[in-house]
Amino acid sequence: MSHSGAEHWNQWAETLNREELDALHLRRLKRVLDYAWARSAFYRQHWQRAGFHPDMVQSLDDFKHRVPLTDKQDFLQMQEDFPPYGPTVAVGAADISHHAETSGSTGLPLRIPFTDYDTERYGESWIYGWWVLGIRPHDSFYFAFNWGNYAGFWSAYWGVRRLGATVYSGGGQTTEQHVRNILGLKPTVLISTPSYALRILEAAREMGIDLSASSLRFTYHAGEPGPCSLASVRRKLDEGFGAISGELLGIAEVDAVAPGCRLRHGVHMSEMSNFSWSMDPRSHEEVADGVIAENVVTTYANSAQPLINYRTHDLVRAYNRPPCGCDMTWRYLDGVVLGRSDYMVTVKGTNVYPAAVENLISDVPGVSPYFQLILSREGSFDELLIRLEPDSHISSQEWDGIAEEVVRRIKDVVGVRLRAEVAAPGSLPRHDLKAERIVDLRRDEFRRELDRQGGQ
Amino acid sequence: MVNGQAKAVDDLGRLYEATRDLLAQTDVPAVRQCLRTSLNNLHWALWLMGAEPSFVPDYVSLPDGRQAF
Ligand SMILES: [Zn+2]
Repeated sequence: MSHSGAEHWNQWAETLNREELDALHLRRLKRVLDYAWARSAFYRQHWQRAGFHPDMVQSLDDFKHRVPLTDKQDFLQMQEDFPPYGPTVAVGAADISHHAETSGSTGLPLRIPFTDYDTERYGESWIYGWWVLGIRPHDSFYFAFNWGNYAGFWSAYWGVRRLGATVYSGGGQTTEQHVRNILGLKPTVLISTPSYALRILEAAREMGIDLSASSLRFTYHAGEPGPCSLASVRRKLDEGFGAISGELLGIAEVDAVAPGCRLRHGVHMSEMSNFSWSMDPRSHEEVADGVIAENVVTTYANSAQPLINYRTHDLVRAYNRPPCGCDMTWRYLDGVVLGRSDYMVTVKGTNVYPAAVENLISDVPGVSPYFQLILSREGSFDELLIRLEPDSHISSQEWDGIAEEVVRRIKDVVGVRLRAEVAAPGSLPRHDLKAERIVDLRRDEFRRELDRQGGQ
Repeated sequence: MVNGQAKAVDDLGRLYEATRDLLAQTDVPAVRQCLRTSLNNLHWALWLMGAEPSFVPDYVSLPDGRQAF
């Protein structure tokens, strides 16, 4: 009996209506609360201090507003005071079967324990996104990835095992060796970060090899904004590999939280393995569908170190009733992650996340990847000036039109009209890192004040 | 629920309980490991069909290392 012709990995679960999903979540969240209360010294103390008890939750509203928030910092502190995991764990050492860590790019890495069962549930989240794209158990996955402590692609590996497909490890290989392995092993799916996939394409071109003619039919990415975040990345990957690219949003300590939508303009939260809601980072109130706010997540996939009402600091435009056009009913993040709540400025009274503006600019045709956002302070308001460069093949008569298009898109999405200046092609500084595009000319005291308002 | 799902949930629930009882009576480490894996899978199958006997399977130990059974 073969079910590989089905449209979904789990049709029933992926098409439940919002009321049915909410009823499931309420029951499951209560179980998670009872579990953490009984087993985690950290949660019991954190909640007792705030006057909270699991019995106080009778509705999802109660859950969102009464369960104290948690933040990565809480866990880091305890891990440092009581290594390796401190009182945050809820299971005995014998039941911890895998250890991962966050990248630590913004400080100390967070240590993440998983039970055997956690790894199964965590890996499963990937499959929903693979399946709707057309990936099946007969496919074979090439991992262009070095098997360190990064949870992201370990979880993809757990997912492939669950899907029942073939795994080819590319651990310890050079970029050129990856190209040769793809030609020799003939995998049908490539797993890597988006930028590393582009690097593989570049290396293949230098070797005189056209990977669009290879066995690859799909590429799937995580770790950075990819094909569901940025149209330009989607085009480059699809054309370069002659394949369909997809993207998953993962949060190492939480879950492979959001596998891609079939239509590839965003991702769906994996509602069998986590519950999430959108919170205004200043007022902590829930916001309506479509309003940019912080994603707050509770995982069902980590029972070793439960994360409950956990602040991700990821800014998302979420819809509990997805408008994407596919038939999956799970909460939808349009454009995936639009920025970080810990970095926000206020321009003409509107909260603006520079990273969200960066993503919008990157998507306007004719704009080169080299642009700057100049932050300054005029009186009591922040000012944000965009300095952009057209692609070198664009004639100078078209420059103003491109700048207007950039301003229009930002006005449409963010709600504020920014100023844009055009610089001659080749004149702006070249950097590898996105973050260096933001030039902050404000005096230090404003930066500190505004960064705090971002909800630390 | 789709056709037959309620019955499948019932059947799986019984399998889950029977497997848990077997695990509680088994001393052989190799066999215990097989039964633990089975319990995980049965628990997850129930979860994915909208039912769940608990947040994690009953064998999972407490932070101080004490086993449920
Ligand atoms: Zn969709």
